[in-house]
Amino acid sequence: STDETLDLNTDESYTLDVPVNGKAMLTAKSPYGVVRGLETFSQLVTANGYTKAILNTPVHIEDAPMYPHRGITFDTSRNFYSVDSIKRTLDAMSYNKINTFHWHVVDAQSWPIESKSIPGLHQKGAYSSSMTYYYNDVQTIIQYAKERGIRVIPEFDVPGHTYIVGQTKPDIMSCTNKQPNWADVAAEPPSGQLNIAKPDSINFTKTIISEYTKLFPDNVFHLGGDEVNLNCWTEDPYVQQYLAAHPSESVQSLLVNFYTQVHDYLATTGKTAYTWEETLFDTSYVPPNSTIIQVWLAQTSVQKAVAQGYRVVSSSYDAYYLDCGHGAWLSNFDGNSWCDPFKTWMHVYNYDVAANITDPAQRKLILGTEVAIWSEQTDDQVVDARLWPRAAAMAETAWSGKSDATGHVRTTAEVASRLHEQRYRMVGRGIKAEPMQPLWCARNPGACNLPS
Amino acid sequence: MKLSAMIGFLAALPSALALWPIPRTLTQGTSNTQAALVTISVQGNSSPVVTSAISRYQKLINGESFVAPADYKRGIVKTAGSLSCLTVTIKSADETLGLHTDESYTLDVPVNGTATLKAQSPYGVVRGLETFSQLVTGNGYSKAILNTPIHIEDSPVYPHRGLSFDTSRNFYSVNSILRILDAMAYNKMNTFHWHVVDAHSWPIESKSIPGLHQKGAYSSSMTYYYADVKRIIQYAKERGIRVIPEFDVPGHTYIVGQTKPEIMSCTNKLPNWDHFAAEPPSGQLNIAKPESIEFTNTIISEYTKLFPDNVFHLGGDEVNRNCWTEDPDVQKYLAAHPGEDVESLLVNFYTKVHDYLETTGKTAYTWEETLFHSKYVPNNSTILQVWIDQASVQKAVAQGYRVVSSSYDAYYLDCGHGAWLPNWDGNSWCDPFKTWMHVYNYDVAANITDPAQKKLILGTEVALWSEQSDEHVIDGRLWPRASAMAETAWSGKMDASGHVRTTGEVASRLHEQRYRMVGRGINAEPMQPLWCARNPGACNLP
Repeated sequence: STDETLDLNTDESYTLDVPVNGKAMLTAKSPYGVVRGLETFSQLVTANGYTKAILNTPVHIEDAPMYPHRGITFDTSRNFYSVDSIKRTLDAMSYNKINTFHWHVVDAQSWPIESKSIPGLHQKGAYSSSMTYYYNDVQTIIQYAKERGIRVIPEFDVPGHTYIVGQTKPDIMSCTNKQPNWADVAAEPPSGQLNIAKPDSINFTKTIISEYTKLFPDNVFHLGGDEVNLNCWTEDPYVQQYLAAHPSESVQSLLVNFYTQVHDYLATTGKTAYTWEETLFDTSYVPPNSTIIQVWLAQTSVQKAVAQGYRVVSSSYDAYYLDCGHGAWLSNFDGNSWCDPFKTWMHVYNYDVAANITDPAQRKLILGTEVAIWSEQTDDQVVDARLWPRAAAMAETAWSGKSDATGHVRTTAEVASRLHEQRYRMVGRGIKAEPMQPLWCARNPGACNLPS
Repeated sequence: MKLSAMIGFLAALPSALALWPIPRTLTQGTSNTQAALVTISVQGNSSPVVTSAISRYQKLINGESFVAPADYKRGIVKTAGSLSCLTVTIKSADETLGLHTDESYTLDVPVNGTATLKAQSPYGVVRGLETFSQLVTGNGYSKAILNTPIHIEDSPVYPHRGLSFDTSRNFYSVNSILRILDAMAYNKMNTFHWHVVDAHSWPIESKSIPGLHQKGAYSSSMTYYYADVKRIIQYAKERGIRVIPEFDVPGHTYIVGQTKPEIMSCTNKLPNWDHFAAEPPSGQLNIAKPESIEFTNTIISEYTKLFPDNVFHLGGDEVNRNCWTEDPDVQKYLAAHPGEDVESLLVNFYTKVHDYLETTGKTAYTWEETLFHSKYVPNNSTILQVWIDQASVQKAVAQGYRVVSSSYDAYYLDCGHGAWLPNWDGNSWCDPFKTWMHVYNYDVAANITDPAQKKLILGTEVALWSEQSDEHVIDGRLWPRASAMAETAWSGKMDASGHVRTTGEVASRLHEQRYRMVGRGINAEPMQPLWCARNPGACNLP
């Protein structure tokens, strides 16, 4: 089929046949199966002196992914990334058959994306006019991604993580940049959340939803909802006044009201909501059943979410937060970060999103996985090394699953040689992936293992 | 006072000049000086290093228009005068580069007219020009120097401020090494300790035993030929950076066995390499064979000529005894020589090679195990590189040795990437990652109070071991964390009043240094969100 619809139901399967002599054949259900198959074909071709060859012919491959959602949560707010870096990241994703670019485009520290409905958002919120994603940049990125079979799911994280909105709309905010005790009211500085006691905070969110559901064609839209701090509101004089005047309401009920209104509004656009697990587990709000839950806190969250009938994507921080391992980033504190240690490619590879989930109906609710790169300590200068080849480790377990056809669970020792090859191939293709070991070890498979 | 007037008053106060490392003395004024096109020229004596430095900094300053992130809202400052030139004078044109090189300088920038840079040696000029380049800031379409008149007197606390750099586990192109030397110069670091060979590869050309690189380099293009080495040494010299080579013996030598299998013990023992070595592949020189000493002396002879520095590093770390006690050849030798044992063989090895090094007129530099984990007593001029713990610094100076510290807990910049053996999902031996704050907080002289012993501390080196690093990632691994060490080594731990600088206080300056380095082509990692760099003090732990 020539249908270019790109979503959870896209058929990425293909069959590839390479004879000893003659014509190779790639057949696929959809254009995106062609993209996947061509990547595989490109990996079969090897240099052979001054010419090239494909080894071990005839080759017959039938391939299809285990999970339909294989992505990267990519934060462009804490630090900015050029459009070129994002395109290079999309290239590297396609080398690994990763199909979802979950663009965490705004957060407390900056609002780098153009807004036509509230231009002050980027005029006052982007780090600079050159560190801004204008509409045509966004469209360029979406098109570049589509050509690689990569969905772009935008995230506009509300009601927390919104300090930057206050640069334009100070009147709809609570606990803006509380210093020095930001930790009372936020997960990290600067503090600031939408004031959920004000209808204007809901109107603002609807305006954002309205604008960006049009700019981004994907039928899934991420509304954030993580790390919501209740003190931010209980300490806010306006909220206190409001609650005093409305004794039957509470911060919890205000939050339920906020979520209800914005999720209902999103539903009117025809899009599906995607949110962080706190929206389900840490509030009284009950998301609509179609909502996709992004789990990050613990493996038990995966189990709890599917047990409640929700579809789940896992970014378990313990396995998949690729930014962890660079220590704390607050300048006056000499210590580890909350999510240290560094997640090695082996640790990423060993994660099983379906662990302890045996009910087949629940297993079907697991859509897949995303590694995350939060950018407090990352930008253009270092992003390739932060992502690669560790994201490639997730890419394989998400595409190929944990076990081979006999049920044997692949071990990191067994796959190291292939991942070395992938790493060096990516370097040759212009991705500054970090090395896994000394080159001597890559050349001598098995010679650099821990003795059992 | 009215709030608006108060804000105006505060805005008019000069912000502290953000120099890295911070000079020993700095007095600044309240004017600003235009510095759109500053010509640098030498008055009186010159030297090739001075000439090249002036040319280099002229180009750098003319091509750079940097504004610190904390100043992003500053707007255009009014200038009261203009700087047309900087004159440079040196006391001595002597280009000797060693522990006794005088790197001091005095820099004066008036409100209007001519700035002066005076230095004892050509290398003081290099240091002073770097400082001068950090004073110039973008000012709209022009440039300025703020807070003039400025008077700086500067000199380093420690004479040895370096980087231990491993080019054996993974290869680094010559260009990436030159870029590292540039970045070192931006931070006034002066020692490139080149850990050029190790078990995994021998990337440096050998004319005396060509098989070493022919069989030991990863490829002919991943080789440092003599011309490459000389280029690196010259490039470093122009930046006031010594190149101290390390040829690590008798451990860490698997790769030698590719050419000289007959002089080796415990070559690539699998799977139990850990019984014989600190990491795979195992392999040590067979110290029961005189040929292993001849080999080492051949290497010493060749490379003491190629590398002009008067210090030569002989390694000596992580020497594994099982490698010899379980070697049949060594067992046979010891059976035939009952008065000897592995320890005496090691003493003999060290004695011979250190004595041979001495005949070249060079000073030995070795890892602490040579002193602490063997019965060999290095001669008193040997410099010890300590890496295991702070107690080693104290023990070494207590025994009268000069010391350089690369305490792994503070200075091993490779740590924090987990284990690198693919069948093991765990941390590396030296995790966690050493943040810039942790690097900055280290005090090499901690718990050493005797002034005579303090004088034996030559300085510090951060180390970058390359099991998980190569040229594709190296800038982010080194910078700006190495800068943190560079300041404590140049400026010391405290200011003139005795106050120990805290990371909370210096973060803003280091942010500026990081962004300046990025502008100069060094892919340094970011310390925080840019928002935090722009809002000093807003991203601290309460």
